[in-house]
Amino acid sequence: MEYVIQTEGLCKRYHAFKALDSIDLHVPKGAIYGFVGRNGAGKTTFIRIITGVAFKTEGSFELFGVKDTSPELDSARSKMGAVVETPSIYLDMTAEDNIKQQCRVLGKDFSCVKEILELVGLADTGKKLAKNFSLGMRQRLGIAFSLVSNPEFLILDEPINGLDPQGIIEVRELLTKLNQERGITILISSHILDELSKLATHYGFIEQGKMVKEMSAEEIDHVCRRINYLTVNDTSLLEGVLKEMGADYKIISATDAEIYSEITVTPLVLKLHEAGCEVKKISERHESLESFFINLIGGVEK
Amino acid sequence: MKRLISEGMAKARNAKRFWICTWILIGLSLLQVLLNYAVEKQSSALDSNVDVSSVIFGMLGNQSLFMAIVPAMFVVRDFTQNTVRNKIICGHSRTKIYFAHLICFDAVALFYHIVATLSSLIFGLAILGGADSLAHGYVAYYCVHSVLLILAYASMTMFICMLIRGVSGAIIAYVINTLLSTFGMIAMLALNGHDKLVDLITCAVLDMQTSLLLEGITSPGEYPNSFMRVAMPLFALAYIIALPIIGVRIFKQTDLK
Repeated sequence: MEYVIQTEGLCKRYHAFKALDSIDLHVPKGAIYGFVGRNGAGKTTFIRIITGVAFKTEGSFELFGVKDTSPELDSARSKMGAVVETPSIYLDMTAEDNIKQQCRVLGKDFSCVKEILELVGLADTGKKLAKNFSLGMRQRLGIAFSLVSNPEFLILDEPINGLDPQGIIEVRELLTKLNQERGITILISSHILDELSKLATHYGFIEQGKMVKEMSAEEIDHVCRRINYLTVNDTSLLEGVLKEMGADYKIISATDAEIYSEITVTPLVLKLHEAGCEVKKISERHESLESFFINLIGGVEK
Repeated sequence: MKRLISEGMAKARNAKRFWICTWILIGLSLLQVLLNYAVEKQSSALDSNVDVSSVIFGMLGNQSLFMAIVPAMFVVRDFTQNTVRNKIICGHSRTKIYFAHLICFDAVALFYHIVATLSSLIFGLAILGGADSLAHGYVAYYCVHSVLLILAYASMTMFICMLIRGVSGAIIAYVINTLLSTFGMIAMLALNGHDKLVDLITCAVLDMQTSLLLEGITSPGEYPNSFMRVAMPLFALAYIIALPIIGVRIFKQTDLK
């Protein structure tokens, strides 16, 4: 598999504190990589090292196949765009002037300015200065900034933090569009897992500076169990039927039970009816990415 | 680096405060000429000798303040608004970023110096007269020296702004210049009698060099002495060359926000 970025034993120490502890991460080309972790887990530190804003203490990484020790790293970085924490924009300039400044930095003409502003939905902001933008608008301007270089790889650090529901949808749609229409590989760090699960094709879970697991969305779907909740008049009768069917289950109370294995509802209900067990309620729930993550890191508080 | 310089210069050109400061400098130049004119009128009976040479570099004493306020804002803003990240992320090396900042800083500082000197010259000639007072061979020397001083101030302010990476950096740069001058004076008093050491201190402190330059232009050939005439520009050059080298080395190892 071709990786846009891969790291090996990446470490970052601040005196005695280990912010990153031997991180191995692999972002496949074309993926939307969800970088999941709690606040302070080390997501931003990792991103700052990859983007060159901060320096690693140990380990190595490759960006577009270029080693971090290579003098070619700067040119590999020119294929990358990023928004680290808060968007880095000129607050006393308009959206258009901001993008023009970035065009100057990249030595590009201004022909792309209108297209980029339209893409992020800021084409009609006119003479409004960036300092008067809403949080969502600033976030989108930050993304627009990173798109000027026509990047193949986009790194977004908490892009939906603090956004209202409408803003979240807009950013999500924008990212999907960038990934599907332009083929841009995206790494998004976030702790808003519900939102991330709507976008990501791959995941990396980080906790206390350590990489806990890397998985594809398919693997997560497989692992996240589908649970059927049953409320009956007598779970002892239900237990007999489930045993007979070879199902994986758990009796919760005299009337409630959870079934973890895949079942077809009609035969189960018919068998329960034959056994004299009355089914009062059946509901199905998918284990969320959130609960999967919590289980993975071993609880809410460590 | 050309791209970074173009970006920096565009930022300066489009900033209101850049043009406001230009007009303030012109206004202050006129004011100092008028003040000198008033002083001359008051003390004409005492045979005062106020002419254009008294004011031509008169604004140089305020340059370190202007330099700390305005060009530093373009540099400091890159750190406070974190826009410097955008340059690093898209593949510009830190060495190029530092030098691009410094070149923009130098350009703006020189622009202010030229504006102040030309305004003082024009207003001075028109109001005070005395064009012949500038007709000596030292004027070219003082012009070159003043440019070196401006570049040395710029290197120092840039260096401190890069270290502090906040608005306070520009103010601290100004305060450091003043403090160096104060400590220099104390050291000179303590070393009274050791002429060479006193001269070296005068050369090492930019504000003291500025004072000497301002004195020298009105009494060419007498002061500073020939040793100082060589040593002062060399010390200014040392600032211009050494501080960016140290600054880049530090910047290349610094984690940014």
